[in-house]
Amino acid sequence: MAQKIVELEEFDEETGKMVKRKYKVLEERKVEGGGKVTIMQPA
Amino acid sequence: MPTKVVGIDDAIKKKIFKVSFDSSTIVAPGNQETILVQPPKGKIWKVRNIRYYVVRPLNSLSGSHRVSIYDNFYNLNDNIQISSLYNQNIHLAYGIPVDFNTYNPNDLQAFIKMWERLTATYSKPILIRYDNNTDVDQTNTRYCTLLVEEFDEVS
Repeated sequence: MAQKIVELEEFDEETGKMVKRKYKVLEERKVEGGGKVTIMQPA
Repeated sequence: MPTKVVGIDDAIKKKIFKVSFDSSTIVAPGNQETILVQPPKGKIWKVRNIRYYVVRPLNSLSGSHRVSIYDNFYNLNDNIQISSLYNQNIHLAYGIPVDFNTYNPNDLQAFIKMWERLTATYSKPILIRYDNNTDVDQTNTRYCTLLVEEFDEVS
């Protein structure tokens, strides 16, 4: 099964700018209240 | 005869509950783990208390590790951060750093104010990032519990 990749916009501490970074999704899990946590590491 | 005063709070439906999760994925030296915490569509989660705990990377001899918690996609000025040395655990208990080397903001009242306004929606989840800058893999589980108050999002 293909690895799910997501892109997040976040602050880069070195440049001081917002940058887009890709992450591979390792796990998605349901939590209380019908919410979700998504565990990721840099792609 | 008593009169009931109907205020704006009577019109707001809300509930409060714990959102607990953990992660045991291995975080290599120099690498990071990112966890998004996302309420269902149409809901707003406002953080009312927070706990985070991880034991130091076993057998580490140098470096540091840290956790950063962001909302609002993800300005450095809008986060709290707790850093510990290679031989220290990270422990944020009831919103107070108890095991740490440094924390940001470095004033405790400012630190508490910062996490007290953490808010998540479906499109803007809270982001929790763990950075392992020690010399060994982090194999210990990261534990997090958020006490959240839930509101309906106005469409």
